[in-house]
Amino acid sequence: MRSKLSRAIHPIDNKMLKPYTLRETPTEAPTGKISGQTTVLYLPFLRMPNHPEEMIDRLSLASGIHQGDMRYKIVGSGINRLTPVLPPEKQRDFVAEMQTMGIPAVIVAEQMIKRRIKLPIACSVEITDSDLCFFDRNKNPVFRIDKETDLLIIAAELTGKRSRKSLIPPDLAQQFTGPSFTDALRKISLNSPAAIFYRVGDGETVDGVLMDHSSFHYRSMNEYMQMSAAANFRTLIEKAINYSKTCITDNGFSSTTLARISHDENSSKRDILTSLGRYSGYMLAAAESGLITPESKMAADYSYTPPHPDNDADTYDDDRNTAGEPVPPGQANRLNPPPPLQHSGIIARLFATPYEFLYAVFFLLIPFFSIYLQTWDLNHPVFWKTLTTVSLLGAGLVMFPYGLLILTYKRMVENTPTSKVRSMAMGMVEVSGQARQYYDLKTSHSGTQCVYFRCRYFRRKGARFTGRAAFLRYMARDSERWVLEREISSGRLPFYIEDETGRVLVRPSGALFLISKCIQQFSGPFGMWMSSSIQRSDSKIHEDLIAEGARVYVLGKARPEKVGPAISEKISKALQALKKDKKSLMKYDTNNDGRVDLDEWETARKDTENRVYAEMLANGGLQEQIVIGKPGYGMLPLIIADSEEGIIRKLGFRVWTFLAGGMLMIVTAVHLLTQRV
Amino acid sequence: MTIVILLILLGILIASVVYTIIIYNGLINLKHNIEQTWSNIDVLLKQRYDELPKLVSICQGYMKHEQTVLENVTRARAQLDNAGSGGEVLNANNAITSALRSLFAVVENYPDLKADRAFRQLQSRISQLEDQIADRRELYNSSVNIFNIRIEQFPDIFVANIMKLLPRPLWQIEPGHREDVAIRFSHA
Repeated sequence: MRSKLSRAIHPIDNKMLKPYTLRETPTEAPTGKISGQTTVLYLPFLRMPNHPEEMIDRLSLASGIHQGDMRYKIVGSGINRLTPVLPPEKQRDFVAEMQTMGIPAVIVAEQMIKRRIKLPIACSVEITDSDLCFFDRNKNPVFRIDKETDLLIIAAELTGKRSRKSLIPPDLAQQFTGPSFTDALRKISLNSPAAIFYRVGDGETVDGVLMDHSSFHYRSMNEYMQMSAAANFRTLIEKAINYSKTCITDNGFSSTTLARISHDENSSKRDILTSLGRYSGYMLAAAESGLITPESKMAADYSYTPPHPDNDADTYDDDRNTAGEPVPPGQANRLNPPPPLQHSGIIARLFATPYEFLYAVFFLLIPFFSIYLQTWDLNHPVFWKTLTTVSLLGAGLVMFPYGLLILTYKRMVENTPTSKVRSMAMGMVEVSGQARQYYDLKTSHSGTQCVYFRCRYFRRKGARFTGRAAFLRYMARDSERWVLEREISSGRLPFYIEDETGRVLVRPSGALFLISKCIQQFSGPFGMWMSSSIQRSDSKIHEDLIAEGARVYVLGKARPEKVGPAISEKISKALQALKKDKKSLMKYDTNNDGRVDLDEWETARKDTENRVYAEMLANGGLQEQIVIGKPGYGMLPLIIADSEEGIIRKLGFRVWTFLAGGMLMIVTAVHLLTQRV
Repeated sequence: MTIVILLILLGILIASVVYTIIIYNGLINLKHNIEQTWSNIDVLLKQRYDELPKLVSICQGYMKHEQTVLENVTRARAQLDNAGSGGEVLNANNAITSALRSLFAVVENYPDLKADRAFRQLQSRISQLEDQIADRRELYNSSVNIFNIRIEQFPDIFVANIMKLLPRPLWQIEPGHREDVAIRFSHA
């Protein structure tokens, strides 16, 4: 079984922690072949559990470590070692307690961690159909990966950058779950990457190899080699995973908090490699002792989403449904998004075109056809002049008022003060903050968390180019030959805007959407952001997205919105239930004729209505949530942008373009008309 | 050529008229925005005003030796009743805020009162209202500030002068209220 231990974080369901019982007899802690000094390795929680007090008390009691210290020891990123070193009996108690609580922990010999590991450095590789073999500088085979290999891969970047994640508030930690191994590898591969490959054995012999990006010859990968070194590194890791029997992957070197692994951006490469060697010793010991295994679901499943009792994965709310699901602020209750909008060919091109350009085409086409229908002659001397005049006049008459409208919007943005979410009043409001997801929305290609995305798939038109020809075409920015093949868009789905005082739902239907989108490009073998799923040089993918947490500005109308089904719907359901329940229905058969006639049914209906209203009032009436949306009347706008300054700048540019352009067009058109007269 | 020049002049004239209308509408909008933001504060001030007697009556049962603090709250509330002009209303509300701060500070010395469920609920409710009032006061000041800037800016100043619009005062805290609250614990 293949699996990934990304930074050795394990997800543990909080529900598992609450109802644990006191242990009667200590369970046997797995010790393996241990002799001499021992120590405890464990995988701490990424975030603090909901009710940690009892856990901390028990662990503190078992180990003798102060509760305050223990609090920090059970939370962290990556593999951890218990310090100070406890007496053997305390270690056993501690490990047993940890296991009872669902925290993977094991006792290992100190020598397993401290053993001197001298790894050969791989300079080349040979990839065959059955195995993958690394060679050193003298072309001697140093490490082989085949279908019998239990592999441990530690990927790390040798820049010395650290990304510590301790001291994150528990309520925020769920947002910092970090990338998966594949995502992390993409980043690592761009900055001086290195990898250590170990064969996970019995702990007596160590078999492994260090692959340093700077001294490795990717050319030896032959047909698997691509132009980008980063892509080559990723391909090599991917091949190693595929050729092995089982594989544990790890990318936690940069965020480790283990002792004696100290390096930073100013450290020499030698120091960083020494730290990596020490870190790999811990990882190898953890793999050999069974702390992390490919079969371990806890260790394998990195992308942990905290469970929520109300989370119904099968439901999603449509944007058009104004009565949204109740999602209390601050709760991670994200709904599944509706299916994305897919277009292809001309439709996709149409959707990708700015709407102002479409207006312009429309105002040129209308007079063209109207005049052509009158003259039926394209070579008529007056035809083109009349066409130009009418088109200019039409466009000018639209552009000038549109410019004035945009000016009104601009002044509205300037004149409206920014409210806090907590104290927002109903009516036109301006709120600024960060975008937060309402739906569990991810971009269709890279899976990036976002509140909006548009993914465009391009294909190079004509023959497929390879080698030097492809490279030259790429360098020449020959973008004209890229054809939009397909477009997938999330559509304008609701999202939250969050400031320091709270969050409020935004329904962006009908909004003037002037937000700068983050752009990700996944192209052929020459792109930095090479995706392993695209191996063709004739395709590229553009993702425009508004990422989760992006800065957002909203000007719109705040209004209360009823949450949950409407009262009429509830009554309808209650009546349907009454019809099905013959016994209850027959209670209304007052004349005992065995059937419910019209008057009796009317009584039943009124009773049901009263009951539903009473139940509703007993539950506190209809629930409401505040939403910001487009005003339902007049020309008041709903504007969504990055920031107030940004939207003022953008609108200002449009105002002057449309006012001046419109005025110029009208004047020119009238001038042409007067010339004809 | 003359026609073209005339047309351009006509266009500029039309644009100027429309621009003036937009400025006029904008200033009217700002003026009413200030009134609306003030009314929105009023809603919260009224809610806080209604909660004060309940708070005082709960506290009186426990804080027999802190009559001065409670009297301050009651006096500040009465001051709001008698307030006439906008400035007096602002001062009265500032006085209530200050009196409440003193009260909540002194409550620390009365564990029984702090443990009282009704008191805790009221304290929480008033604290929430205070936060909201602070936010809306900030919003009111922003509205006033935008208005004051607008009516002194070119070319809005011409329209503002015709409309006889004058700068509005900001809601400012009195210097006395910026000082730390003096807490005196009376031991029973």
